Amino acid sequence: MPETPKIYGIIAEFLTPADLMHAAEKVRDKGFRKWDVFTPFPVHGMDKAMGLKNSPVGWFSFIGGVTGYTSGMLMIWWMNAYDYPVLIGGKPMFSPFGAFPPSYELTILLGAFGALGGMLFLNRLPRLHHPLLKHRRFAMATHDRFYLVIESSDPKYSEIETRKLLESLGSGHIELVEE
Amino acid sequence: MSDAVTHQASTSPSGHDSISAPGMIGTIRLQAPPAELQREPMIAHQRSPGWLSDAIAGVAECKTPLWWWLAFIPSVIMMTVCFSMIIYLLSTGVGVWGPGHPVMWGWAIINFVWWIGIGHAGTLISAILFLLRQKWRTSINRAAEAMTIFAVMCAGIFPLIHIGRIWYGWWLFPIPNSFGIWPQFRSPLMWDVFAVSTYFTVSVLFWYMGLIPDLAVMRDRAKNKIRKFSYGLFALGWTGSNRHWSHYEKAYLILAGLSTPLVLSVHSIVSLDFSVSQLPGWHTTIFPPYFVAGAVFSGFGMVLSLLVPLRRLLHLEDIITVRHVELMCKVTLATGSIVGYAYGMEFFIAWYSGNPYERYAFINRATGHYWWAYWAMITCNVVVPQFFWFKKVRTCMWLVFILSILVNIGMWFERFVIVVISLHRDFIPANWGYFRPTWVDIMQYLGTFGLFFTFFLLFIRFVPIIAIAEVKGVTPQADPHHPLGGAKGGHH
Amino acid sequence: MIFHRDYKMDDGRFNNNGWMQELPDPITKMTWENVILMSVQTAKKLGLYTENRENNRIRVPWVRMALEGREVYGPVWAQPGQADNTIALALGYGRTVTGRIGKFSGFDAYKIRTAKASHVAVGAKITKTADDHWLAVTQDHGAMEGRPIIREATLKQYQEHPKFATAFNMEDPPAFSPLYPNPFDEAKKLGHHQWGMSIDLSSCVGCSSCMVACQSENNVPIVGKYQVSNNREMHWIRIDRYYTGDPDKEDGIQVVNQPMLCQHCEAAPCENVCPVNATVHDQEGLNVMVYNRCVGTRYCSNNCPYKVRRFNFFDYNRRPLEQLSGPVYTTPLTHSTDGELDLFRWWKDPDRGNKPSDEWELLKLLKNPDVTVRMRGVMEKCSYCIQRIEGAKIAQKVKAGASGDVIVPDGTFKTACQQACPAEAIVFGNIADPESRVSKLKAQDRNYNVLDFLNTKPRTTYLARIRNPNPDMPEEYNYKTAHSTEEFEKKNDIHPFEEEHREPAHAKPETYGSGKGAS
Repeated sequence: MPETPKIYGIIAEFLTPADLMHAAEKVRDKGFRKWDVFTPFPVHGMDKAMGLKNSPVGWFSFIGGVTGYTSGMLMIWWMNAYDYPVLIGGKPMFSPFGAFPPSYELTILLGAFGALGGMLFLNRLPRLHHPLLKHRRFAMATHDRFYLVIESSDPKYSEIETRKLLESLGSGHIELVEE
Repeated sequence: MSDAVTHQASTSPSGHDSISAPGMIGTIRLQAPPAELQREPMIAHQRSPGWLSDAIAGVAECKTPLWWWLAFIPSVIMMTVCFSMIIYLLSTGVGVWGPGHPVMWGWAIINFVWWIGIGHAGTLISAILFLLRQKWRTSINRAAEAMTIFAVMCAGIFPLIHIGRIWYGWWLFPIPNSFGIWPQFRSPLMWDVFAVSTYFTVSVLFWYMGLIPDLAVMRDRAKNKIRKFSYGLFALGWTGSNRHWSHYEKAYLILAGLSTPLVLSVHSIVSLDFSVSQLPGWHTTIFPPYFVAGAVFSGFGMVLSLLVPLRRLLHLEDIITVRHVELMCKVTLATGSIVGYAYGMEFFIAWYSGNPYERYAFINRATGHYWWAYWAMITCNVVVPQFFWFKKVRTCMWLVFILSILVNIGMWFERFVIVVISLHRDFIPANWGYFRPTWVDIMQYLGTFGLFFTFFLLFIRFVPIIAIAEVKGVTPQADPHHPLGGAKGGHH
Repeated sequence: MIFHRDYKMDDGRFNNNGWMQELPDPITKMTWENVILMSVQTAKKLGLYTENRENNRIRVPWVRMALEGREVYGPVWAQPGQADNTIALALGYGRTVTGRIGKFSGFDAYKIRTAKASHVAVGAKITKTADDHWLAVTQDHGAMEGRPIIREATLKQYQEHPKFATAFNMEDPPAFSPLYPNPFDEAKKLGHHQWGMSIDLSSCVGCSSCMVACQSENNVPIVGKYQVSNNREMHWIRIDRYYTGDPDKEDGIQVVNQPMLCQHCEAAPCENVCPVNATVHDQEGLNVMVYNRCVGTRYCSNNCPYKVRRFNFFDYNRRPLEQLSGPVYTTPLTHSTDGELDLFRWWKDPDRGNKPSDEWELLKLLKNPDVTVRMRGVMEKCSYCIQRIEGAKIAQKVKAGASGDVIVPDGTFKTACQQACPAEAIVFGNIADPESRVSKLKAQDRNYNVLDFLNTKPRTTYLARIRNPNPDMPEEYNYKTAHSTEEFEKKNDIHPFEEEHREPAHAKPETYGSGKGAS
């Protein structure tokens, strides 16, 4: 007897970003927790519609930048003024002006790593295997369709009720997603 | 500017827009601006996001066109020439090039500054135009950033190979060595090491981050297993989740915010290679802003040279529209005028300073042994961009292409004027000497074009050359408050 | 037509001597060959004058000279200051039986020289040919452009304005105090000596002996005619020769000479820009070049305003002279020497070089073992003969033993250029010792720095030249002021012989406390 496949969640397709946004508001208001919307491009206002908080990526970048600047200054001071000071054209052993360009570049470099790394970390990427990626119709999410997915692990999830809710929101196509 | 206000999508001939929907109180009559004030739409013919995916991804998916092979094979040959010249240089000595006393830096540094300058347009388009909310950047930013990365690759070759003992190039990095001595950080060449490495790395990071959603598009459209695997690997499993988009947008904003001071600082640091020295003609504080403006100028010249033919060859005229080309011409005009102003200001300050050595340096540029290079520079950098005042010129693709090539030539001559002419006649007349490039100099430079075009052609072949997700994002169909985006009017 | 023994080749005996071939002739600055010298007017009259001949690989007309049925071909050189209607030919070149070095250098003036008129001959005929010939000249530009590089005065002017030399200086900017203390001020206290040099331009005649002495002492390589024409000659000290005055006037040209070598600036522009700390300053005031650290960015040479730094564009010590010519150079990847691929030779023994083995052994005998031999890609310059300095310091320490009397007495040693100079124009010594010869010379009122306004604080200073025109000479030869001064006053708004002397701030003599036990 074949095993009934586990259900990851329920997916609803929408045709316009406005429809998706209204649907998202309703789902948010209903109190669902484990759900998400999938769009080919970021939709203006969707974060508010989903009730998402501001992204903390900035903190990763900030820490990276500060690390970059201090390590640049420290490195230059240590190398040119402390470990092996050498007379160079009567110039001072350490000057914040001369040390500024490399430190500034390191700020930007480590800040950029922080931003990208933070983004990937917060997104839990790379994640090459995802139930939605196996779902046949989901490929349209990068094309021109908009999807709303409610995971089955959400406490408010119920196969019948959730489906009815999504139908009422104006979705044209609703399916179950297998794990 | 908010796209929600200017409803330009439904182009009814009367110029009126009216929106009404069941349940609304009354009808909202919206007055579209008169025809002369209407901007051309960013995506011509109201193409839908689906069409955009098909058009852009289709470039990488269709059979390789003949023109691509006709461009690729010579590029690979020139790239081989580039590497052979490097091996010849490495095995024989710097003497195979033209420099001697007093002109110790020749084509190598000219080419280095030229290529790095070209790269700056990509970062300007990606970062600065993003911060300025210029939505038209989305059609050109991917190709421009790719151009930046490949240009910086070509540029980065030169500081490495122009040094006398290339195998010790790693001493310029703060790596422990057997002498126990460290690099000397007061030198602008050290600042260059950090600046160019950072610029390359951050450009790659920014470009890659922008690519992730687009690689997901390619992955989802892939027809065979290899493509699906390759694109999927680099797409990192991107799903288009809005939670992901939220972090992504923030990271993009931060990277744009970091790249802006980066692009301003990198070419400033490259210009400090010259300013920090004593030479008349080099020792001037105008260099950082002048070089940055010049870099953006030459970069836009290169972007125009690349994209004007590409939009025709790849049938992307609806995405890279005439309006985009016009806007790029306007940026070229603006930065070219800044560069022209800088030339004039240098002359003025040299005269005003009363320093005979400074005055001579500038008179020598215009009337001395290399006067032809100076006047080529003035013609191509000051006169040529002024043609972009005229709409007729801006909208004629052939003219734009030719003028953009002239801009690049002019900028190369500018670096020649700065490097060679200032060096060849400095303080003590007994030291005055001349510079002549050798065949190795010339082949090396042409070889870097081979390197650049090889990578750029591979980029066109395999990677979406327009930022698919971003371009979709600026269409009216993407705006939830716009009728085409599904808005039913009234609430919000 | 005047036949003269060449300044360097003599009668031809030094034709195969590389140092002599590469030494620039003191007046024409020609290397590796001889030319047919004639005055500028004569060249113009004969249609042999090359307009705008400044360039690398200067091309001059190739002519045929005939005298009493004999002929020889040679390049023409228009020489400012030569008497009109005379032709000067240097003997000693164009030898057919000579070694590797002397092959194909110059033309043989002996061919038209007869015993009848062996020094001066009359009636030579010059015919232009369709060819031209390229020459390797180390100094292209002959005019000083009104810049106070070499400063001169007549005796009368000097007596009236003894401090004229510093009066040529550019106006000082307003005084300022720097943000940081100069670390060199502290470091100076640690050095027992402070080295400096004074060069008397009144004594220097431009003989260039110093150039050869330096080349022999410091293992400076020769590079060959093609490389010299590319401005790559390696001499650490050179004689700059300027023509001042109006070439169209009778006796209108004056020639001035200046030995130019590393100035060992206290505020050296070269040190600031080296990214790898390859050129640094020591506590005794020397600008030291660290060959094994140099990666060869050449920024230091760009920033040196005196352009005294020389770069090894090729392995001049390993590459034979024949392979230093032409726009296409052989590469060790494909070239073989003595039947063996150069790459294999290098792999088996990296120090062997690509010269034939007999030449290689000679080369080892030639080099001074006290001085490093530089490889390609490395910058080099005058080091104030640091090997002699260190040798003297060591000998003094050994002699001093426990007494601690480690200061080298003045005159114990000389730098190579000082040793060779027949006029004793170059004086080197310890400027921390006020009794040393060099300190006394620097204290003279003729003392000045070249390019004073850059404030590089050079340790090599010059004593301005005093000319003593004979008052009994006719009016047109009895000049009141040197031509270079006239040119300077025309270009600048400074009149050194009229104004009250301005004491430039940075020309004040510094006190060089030597710290430990200076006398």
